[in-house]
Formats: sequence, structure tokens, C-alpha cells
Amino acid sequence: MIPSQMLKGVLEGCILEVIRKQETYAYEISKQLEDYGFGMISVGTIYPIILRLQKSELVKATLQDSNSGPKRKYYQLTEKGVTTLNQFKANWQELDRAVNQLLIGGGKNE
Amino acid sequence: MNKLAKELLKKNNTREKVISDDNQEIYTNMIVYLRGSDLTEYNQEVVREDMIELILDGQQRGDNIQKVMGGRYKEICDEIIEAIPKKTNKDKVMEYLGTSLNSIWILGVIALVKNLVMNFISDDAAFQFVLTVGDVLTILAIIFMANFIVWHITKTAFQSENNKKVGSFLKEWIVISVAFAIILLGNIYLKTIIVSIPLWVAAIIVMFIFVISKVINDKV
Repeated sequence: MIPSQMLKGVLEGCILEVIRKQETYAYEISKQLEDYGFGMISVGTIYPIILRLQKSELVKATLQDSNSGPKRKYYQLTEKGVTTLNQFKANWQELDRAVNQLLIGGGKNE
Repeated sequence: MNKLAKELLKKNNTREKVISDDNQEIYTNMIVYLRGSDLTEYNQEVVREDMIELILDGQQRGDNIQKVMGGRYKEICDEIIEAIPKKTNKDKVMEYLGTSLNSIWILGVIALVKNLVMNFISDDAAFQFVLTVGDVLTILAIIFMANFIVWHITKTAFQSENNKKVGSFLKEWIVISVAFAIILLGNIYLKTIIVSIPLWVAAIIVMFIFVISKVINDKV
């Protein structure tokens, strides 16, 4: 299981990517993250992050009927959200390269 | 409370009835905690609406509130509060004014009834509205006590009865006892009259405060 402190910094970007793939709702985001190997991330953890993303105008919500029961809030990326997601991806690649170089490939001086 | 917030409150009151008994306690604690936050009444209702739908969605899947929220209730509430725009200074002033005027007109009606009864009982039926120093202290003590009780309930929403410390109980009882002492002693000893006006004038003033409080509370 990935420690929550480690997840904290990347979860916003990952949620943006899940929403980019398909307009979706809180529980579905939690399920998808679990399927990708993030472990069990509750809806209660995802909801405040979505609120932050909405406040920053990176995602917008629409109420839609669900097949079973109450209406659900579906989230989609805004243009600003797409730009932020691309920035996140670039930052992640840089971090990924640096951490891998340190842990696997050795430091630049080796 | 403004019209939009009132409509949402009404809708939420109906929707939350579907929340199962097992989920009810934790849901209520979370809402009580959010009520004590710096969020506007409208934003509190928006969050409440979302939470109700998340819980009901979970119930449909057979998940209880523990599974839906992940068990970190207070932390989640703090994160929610952090993520939503807070009350502006203007919002705070208007809300404070609205609540104060509300308290004043309610206590004003009580004082009017008290004075009316006293006038009927006494031989000198001058139908005067008399306010003593003790009465004013009583009003202030009641407003302070009401605010303290609400503040205390919201801040201890996630504390179980077993977790309450002895010091906390002592503090609560000291505050409540002091407020009661002010009310009792004020009424017995502080009889200096600061207001003495005809009852009908006092009734008009109370009605005026009532109207102003309604106007302000509809805008908050």
C-alpha cells in the first residue's frame, strides 16, 4: 500500500487524469484509482480534492441522472484543467527520471 | 439565511431522511462540525447536499459511511472547510448582526410579556416597560450562554462521551454556573432602572427590530 503522505502530492494530478479520460463521478474515480493499483482510496478522501480542483477552476460539475438511485455529480476537465494536467505530467516525468536515476541507475557522478 | 440557501436547506432536510440509522450518527457529527466552521450557510448546504448524495450512493452499493468516508471524519471535514471559500468580513458582520438582532427581538418579546404581566399584577397599572441593569445583564448572559453552548457542541462533535476530559466538564460547568449566577444575582440586586417607556412604544421598537433582523437575515 502506498503511504498517504507519498500519495498526497500526486493525487490531484492523478484525479485530473482519470477525469480527462472520461467524465466521471466521485465513487468511479475511487474505483479507477484502486484498479490502477493506488490501493483503497475512499470517496471521503477524493471529495475534498475535487472541491479544491473546482475552486481552482480545473474541473466543473454537472448533475446527471444515475441508473440506480439519486442524481450524481459528474466532473469534467476545464481548459485550465487540461493545461494543469499537462504541467503535472511534465513535472512527474522529471521527478520519475530523477528518482529512478537515484534509486536504480545510480547518481549522475557514477 | 438567503433564499437559495433556504431552498437547499429544505431539499437537504428531505433528502437526509433516507440516510440509514446506522449512518445517521456519523453523518450528523460531520454536519454539526461543519456548522461551526467559517463557511457561509449556502456553502454549508452545498457540502451537505454532496455528502448526503455520497452517503446515499454508498448505501445503494451496500457500503456504510465508514467505508464511504474512510473513517477520517474530522480530517475530511477540515479538508472540506479548507477547500471552500470562507465568509468575507462583510458576511461575518452581517451574520453577527442578524443573529444579535434575532436574539434581541426574541428576548424583547419575553421582556414585553413579563412587563405586561407585572403591570396587570401590580396595583399601579401604568403599562410601563421597565428595563433594569439586572435585565440587561440577564439578556447579555443569555446571549453569551446560547453562543457558548452552540460553539461547544460544534467543537466537540467528534468527541465521544468517554473521551471527554474531566477538565473539559469542569470548564463547561464553570461557564454555565457563572452565566446563571449573573442572571440570578442581577435580577435580585441590580434594580437600577435604565429604561422606562410606555409599553406600546416598547412593542413598536421590538417590532422594528424584528423587521430589521428579517431583512438582514434574508441577505446573509
